[in-house]
Amino acid sequence: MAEFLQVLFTGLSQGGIYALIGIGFSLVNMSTRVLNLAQGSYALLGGFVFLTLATRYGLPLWAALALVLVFVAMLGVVTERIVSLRVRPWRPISHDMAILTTLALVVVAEGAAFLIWGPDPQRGPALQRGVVNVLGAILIWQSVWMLVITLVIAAGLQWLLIRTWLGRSMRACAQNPLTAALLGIDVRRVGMAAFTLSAVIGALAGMLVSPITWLDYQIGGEFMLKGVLAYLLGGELAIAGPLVGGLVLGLVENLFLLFPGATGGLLKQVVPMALLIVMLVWRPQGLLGGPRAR
Amino acid sequence: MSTTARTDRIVPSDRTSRHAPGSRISSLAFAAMAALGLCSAAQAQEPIKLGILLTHVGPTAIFARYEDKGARMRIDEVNRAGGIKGRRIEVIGYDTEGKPDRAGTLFRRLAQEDKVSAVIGPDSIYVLLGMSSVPTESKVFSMAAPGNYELVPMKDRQWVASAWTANGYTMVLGLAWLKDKLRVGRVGMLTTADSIGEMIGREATDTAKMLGMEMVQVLAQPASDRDLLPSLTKLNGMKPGIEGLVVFGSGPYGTIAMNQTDLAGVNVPILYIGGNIIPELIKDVTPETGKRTFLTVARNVVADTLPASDPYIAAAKKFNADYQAKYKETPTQPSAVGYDMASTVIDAIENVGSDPVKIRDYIYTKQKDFPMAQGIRTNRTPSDAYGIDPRDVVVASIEGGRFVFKGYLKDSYKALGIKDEAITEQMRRFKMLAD
Amino acid sequence: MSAETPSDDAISPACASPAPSPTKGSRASPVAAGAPASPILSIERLSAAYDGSLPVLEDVSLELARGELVAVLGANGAGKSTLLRTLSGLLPCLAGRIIFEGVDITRLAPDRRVVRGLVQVPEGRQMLAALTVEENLLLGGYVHRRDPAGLRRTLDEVFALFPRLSERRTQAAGLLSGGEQQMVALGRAMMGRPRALLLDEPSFGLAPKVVSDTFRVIDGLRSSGLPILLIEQNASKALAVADRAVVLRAGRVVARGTAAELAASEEVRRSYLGD
Repeated sequence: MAEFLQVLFTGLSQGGIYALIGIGFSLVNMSTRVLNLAQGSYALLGGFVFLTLATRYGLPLWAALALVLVFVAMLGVVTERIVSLRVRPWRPISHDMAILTTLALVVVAEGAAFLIWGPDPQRGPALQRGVVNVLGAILIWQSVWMLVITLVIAAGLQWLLIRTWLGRSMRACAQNPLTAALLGIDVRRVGMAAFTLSAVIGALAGMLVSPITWLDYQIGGEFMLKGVLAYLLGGELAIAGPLVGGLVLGLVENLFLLFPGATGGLLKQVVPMALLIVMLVWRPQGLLGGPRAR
Repeated sequence: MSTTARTDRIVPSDRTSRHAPGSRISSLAFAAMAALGLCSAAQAQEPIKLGILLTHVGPTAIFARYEDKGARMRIDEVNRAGGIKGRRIEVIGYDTEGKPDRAGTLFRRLAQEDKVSAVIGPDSIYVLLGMSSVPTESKVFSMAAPGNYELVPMKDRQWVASAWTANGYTMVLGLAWLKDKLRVGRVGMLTTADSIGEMIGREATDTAKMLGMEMVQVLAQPASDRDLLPSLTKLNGMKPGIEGLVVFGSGPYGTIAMNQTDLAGVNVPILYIGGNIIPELIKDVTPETGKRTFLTVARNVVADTLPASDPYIAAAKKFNADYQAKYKETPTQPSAVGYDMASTVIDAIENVGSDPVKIRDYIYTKQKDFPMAQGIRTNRTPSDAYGIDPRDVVVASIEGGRFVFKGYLKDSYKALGIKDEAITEQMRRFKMLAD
Repeated sequence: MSAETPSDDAISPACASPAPSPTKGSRASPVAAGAPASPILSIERLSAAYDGSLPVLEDVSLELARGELVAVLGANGAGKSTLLRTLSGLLPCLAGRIIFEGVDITRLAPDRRVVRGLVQVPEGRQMLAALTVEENLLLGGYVHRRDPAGLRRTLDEVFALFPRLSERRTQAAGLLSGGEQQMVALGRAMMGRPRALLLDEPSFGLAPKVVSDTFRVIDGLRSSGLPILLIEQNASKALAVADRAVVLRAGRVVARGTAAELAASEEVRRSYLGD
């Protein structure tokens, strides 16, 4: 029982991080149709800048947090500018070029992180240290917070999408960017807002996860992979899709650890990718995607 | 950090100063000086070239940093003493960037274009496995230092030797100390879910069996996992309980696995196996966990806490002092490995000259009882590319962020009555020795 | 963004009480009556092309006076839709100028043109399919988002005009019938409080009955004083509501005149009226 609970909780907290990254993919993709592979790099850079400010320069956590958010927001804007510098209403974004550009950004971010922070893993301060024992399973407080904050962010974004003009215009762009423009929506600004928002969410993921997973310069790619997986797994619903996708991915991965012996760990490595292939072939609309309303 | 020793190399590409315009000018100046008779006869002799091919990128980069410093320290010593028979050693250093194909290309370049006498490196097993046939092809000896030399194909071993023991295996042997000193009978294991983790798991299971211990279960999680509580909780739930835990994994994985044993309530002695044998990587191990964590290390790592009667203590202390003086940092096990990589090759050159084939022959057949800074002696043969008794290391625990001597592994083997032949046989089974 | 949305509950289904309809001439523009001479929209020698291709539109000049409905007729591929895309800023001009209310908007981004009051109803209605009817309508008023009270008023007017939409306000727009979607498209444009309306093929893909209904609404809008540029393939329907019309062929204006003149023209009858 304790064993099962442990796996359940580990899966949910890991899945929460996948979900956050996946939501970033979702926001940008719905608003601009770009699969921004640099999504994991915001987590990498945000996490590293945060731990540097907080530990090396001893800034109070809130100040470090504020600076990091400003910094990654700018990174988000820069990404958007690079990706759609030459985009006009009559010259839509080239998705191949955009995806390659963001891939290049992943490499640039990785190189920068290597030069600045070196090859060794580092970790930042935790919100709350220690653990709590629940029915024999051990919950790391930081993981609990990770999951809680993920859910809060997801709920906040859902509210934003339904109840605010920014959210409505993002959904309009998701449906039809040309129509959105004809309604008076500045499509480029919506895209920029989506990139900014997703960069901020990515950085939050990086900061939350670093006390547990540690960060090294290569972790951006790992985040990216799991985030894409969560996003594709979950399906079309902007927030609920990647949220469910991430949590399911985290759970499925870790449930394999219930296998006796070393098999579970090996399966945990392989199965997520296999799952992706299965999904893309048999259910490309994702777990939550239904028939499109057109 | 001192940079003087590394200016001619790495960081981070292969564009070393050899091809830079500056060096061309200086070699012109050198030629002019020679023509004017300003150079001594010794300087005028052609230098001996050695390649250094290490991996300065990725999770093992931190080892390369130490190995590089250790190797250059030995080379500097030789050059400062006037070289080998008047010939200076010139270093040509490249970075594999963790890419096996790139490492292969660079090794060929070292052999064919740079015409080095031997190569120090590569160090990472992942890199070495992708290019282990290249030294044989190019007939240049590779003084490697992979963590798992037993994975190198037999056919490639005549030109690639290891500068230390099969590290993972040696650390597995620490089980004997757990049984001998701590009376541990039932052990569980947490390893990484990859081929090396699996192999170490098999080695540990086999060793436990040889020692009359019971390996209850070997669990694995991916090396990228940071929440190892699922496995640890499972091991904690074993009935009857385990008395010892074997952990394999480098970097944060290893550290986190050890620390989380506390959380999971697995408060048993831990035998640690993996790359965290340098201070940077153990600094996050909590004091409570560190005290019950044991691992096998080279003697230079625990030189300060060795018994005064230790036969290697003087050599280990001298190496540590010299290294500290040169680099203003505490020497580590990889520092000594790097030093030994260079000194093995240099010893051969001092005896048979700079011909690559002769160097290789010497190292495999004539270099007997060669003392190394790790506090170990090596006697390589064509069927044994280590030439080291893997039990010839010491057991340490982690106290106050450093390694503290706990005992001699060999004594425990003696106390448990394990025969030498059993070890040789096991090494053969795990392909550390050729048949 | 920062402007707060009126909560959904605040927008009450006011359609229950018959609100004054904007279509019954109650909203005559004060300027429109007095200044037919100064057009609200003038298109001067406009040329346009898709990226790298030959011009699809060449040297087109056209004026839309206040309170006027001008129809642009032409066969498929004559350049009608290209003209509209250029006017709304979805396509760049190669040459020529677009003047709207005395301001040169030739290089203005599409959304800025909407802010100025030049609103388009796109061909095929272009529903934001997954959004509800009400969200579609609200987004039509995006440029007035900082005036939530005014927006709610306009929304009530639209619901009064199209009571069907009020019943379906929470349905996904993509699930509506073609006719209902046309209502949403028109209502959405009204939400932007247009100073001039560009209509792209309102009859496109609709049943004859619905086409007639649609044109009744268009006629109503015209009578209310809203200047309309109507792109239409169904020339007889278009000429029935238009004051003037031009005929495009291969990107050029080949005929122009009052609706009556063109309806009488043999050439136009043969080519576009299909009889």
